[in-house]
Amino acid sequence: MYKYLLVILEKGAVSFCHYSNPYYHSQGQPSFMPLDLLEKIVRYARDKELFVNFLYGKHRLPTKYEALIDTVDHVKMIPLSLQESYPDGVLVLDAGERDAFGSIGKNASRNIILRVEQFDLRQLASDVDLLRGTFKRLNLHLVGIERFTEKDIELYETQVKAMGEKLQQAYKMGGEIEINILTDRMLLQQMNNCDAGVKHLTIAPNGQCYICPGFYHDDEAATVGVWNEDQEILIDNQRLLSLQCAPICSQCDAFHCKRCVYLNQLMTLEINVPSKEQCVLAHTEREASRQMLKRLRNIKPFDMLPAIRSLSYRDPFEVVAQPIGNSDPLLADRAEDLDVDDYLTQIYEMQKKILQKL
Amino acid sequence: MAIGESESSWQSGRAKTITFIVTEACQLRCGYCYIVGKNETNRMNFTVAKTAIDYILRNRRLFDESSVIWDFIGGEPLLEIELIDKICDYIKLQMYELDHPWFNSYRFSFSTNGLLYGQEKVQRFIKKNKRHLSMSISIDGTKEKHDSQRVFPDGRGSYDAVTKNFPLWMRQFPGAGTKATVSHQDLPLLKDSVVHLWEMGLKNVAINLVSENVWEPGDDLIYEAQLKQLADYIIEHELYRTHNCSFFLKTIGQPIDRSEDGNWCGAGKMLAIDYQGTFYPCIRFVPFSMQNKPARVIGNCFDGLDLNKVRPFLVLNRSMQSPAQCLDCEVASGCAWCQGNNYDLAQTDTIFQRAVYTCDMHKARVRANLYFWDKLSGTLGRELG
Repeated sequence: MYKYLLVILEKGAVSFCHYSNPYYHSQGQPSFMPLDLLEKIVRYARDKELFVNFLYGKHRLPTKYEALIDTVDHVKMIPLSLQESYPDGVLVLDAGERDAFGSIGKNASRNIILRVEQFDLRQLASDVDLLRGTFKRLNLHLVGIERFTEKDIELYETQVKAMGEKLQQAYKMGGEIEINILTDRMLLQQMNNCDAGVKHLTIAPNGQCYICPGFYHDDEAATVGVWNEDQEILIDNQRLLSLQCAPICSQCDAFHCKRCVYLNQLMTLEINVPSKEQCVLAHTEREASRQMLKRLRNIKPFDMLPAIRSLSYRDPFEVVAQPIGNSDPLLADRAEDLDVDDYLTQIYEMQKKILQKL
Repeated sequence: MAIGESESSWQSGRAKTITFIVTEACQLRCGYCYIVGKNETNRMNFTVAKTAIDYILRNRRLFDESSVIWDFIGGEPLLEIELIDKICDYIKLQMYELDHPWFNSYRFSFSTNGLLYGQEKVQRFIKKNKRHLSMSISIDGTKEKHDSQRVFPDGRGSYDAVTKNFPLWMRQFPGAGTKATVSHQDLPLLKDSVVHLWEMGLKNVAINLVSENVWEPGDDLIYEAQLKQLADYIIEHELYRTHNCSFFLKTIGQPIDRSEDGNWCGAGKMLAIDYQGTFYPCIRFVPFSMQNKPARVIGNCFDGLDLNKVRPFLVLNRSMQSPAQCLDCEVASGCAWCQGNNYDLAQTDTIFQRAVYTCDMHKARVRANLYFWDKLSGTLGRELG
């Protein structure tokens, strides 16, 4: 049973995640989702007590649409051009819009999504700096991972490290902001992924359902069925969207990873198998979180958080694909690959009373 | 080789298999053939083959096995024997020049319909490469069975044309076996066909059911009856120490522990190359093998392997592609599947969904095996007093 719906209000709706929407920049009159369809969706969501994420394009909606949307629990995902119209919306920014970042009002409770393309990587840490004071939580999403080279990944690693150092300083000064790629893993003890097609479903302006907006914008024919308020959508092979059926992810502890099934399908042709790039990027973030948490160990509330153990690999495929299985479900490392501090910390985390015993 | 023993493959199956699909043409139109798109136009040229060989031999990191099987397939590979000869010469030369470890550990392997086996140019190739050659000719059994499936485009059977080359083939490759196939229509001829192949001098008969879903209600009972008749024949004629047929194995029909989670099929660990130099996980993922799905490309000889497209094949396991009925099956061992066929029949474009229509046929084979081993054990017990 789905927990929430993503509703794409127009074909040119803002992309808020890894995928791109080629229609976002097209000119001309917007083609909004038909009002009667939106009415049915809103009624359905209210009846089923589903939360709705509405994805807006660059255009303000007609008044009738606005009134309808306000009758259901929801969040608005809006592009920068609509920030004045919907001050309570989640702002979706492209790093390429950095010249306009100065126009974003200071807000200590806002959520912002920042989408970063390959050619924006070099400025990533400084872009995040520019946004300081405008958000409580920043969700950073890389775009075009399928085109990333090893150099891009190295560049990302450098930038994430720099962001981590700045965030660490902010925490020492009492700051309380969150940046998904750095802070989520510190707080998680189990997988917390996107779960498209499991926890949420996307409804497009054409009345069709999709696993996520990425599938719709890539190919309208990639539908999982026509949306119908009287009949629940059954996704073929839905089991493959679950963690249990993901041979690499189910053995992994990069708990914050989006585990993006759209990228999986695009890059490996299997919805349950991530690409090397997705795994390495997630482990780059995991390692930055680990380092940061290690350095924040003396500061509250970080002293309460379990340490993240060090790993000898950046792509869990290297371990999962080996024929000799690991008995530890979370990919045990060979002891000689760990540094002594980490090794002792891991023993301590597993058995906290061990010091007393010793 | 005695009954129930598995034929050990060259280098214990650890060699890399690289399959060149040199042509999509074939002189035959076998009723059960999985190649649905045979044609005369798609032929590999030497430049493509050379590019592929250069890529493979110069990327030792990706192709790090200690041995290699250079496999030639079609369509019918012997239609392109001159091209193959040139390819093999180039392979040998390059392996030597690069001081490649495979130079000391390689095979050229062929599965042929045998029609061109006696041709002079084929014989010249065999003579030239004999020490490194495996050659399997497909024959399905009795003339009646063979000619019911393995036919020319005009419907004539190919038995006579193939078997006339048998004496020469068996002289040149005395230990060679054949690959026989059984489909729905010829199930009642199974026992006689295996016996016929033995009588022809082929003591090791590798015989399989077709992978496709051709089975009809009641086929499992015919299959079981045929195998039991074969079992009786083996015991009655005391062939169990000298002859082999792959239908009878001691290891089939056991439950499989959930911790034994390997994949049955080797797709993705091997490499198939088509006439354009496109790479596939095996021949069953090539466009001409697909009935419902797009072909599954994993790279090409110009840009190399797309390792992201290979990943799913290397992490695919039994539990994530099998339904509960297979995981809990009490007689699961020996139940085979074809990854390409599974993909072609899956609800979505995935290799993670196992087709289960062979269930009844597998269970019939298990029952026949129980019958055979039980009866054989009784016979041997009496022999020993």
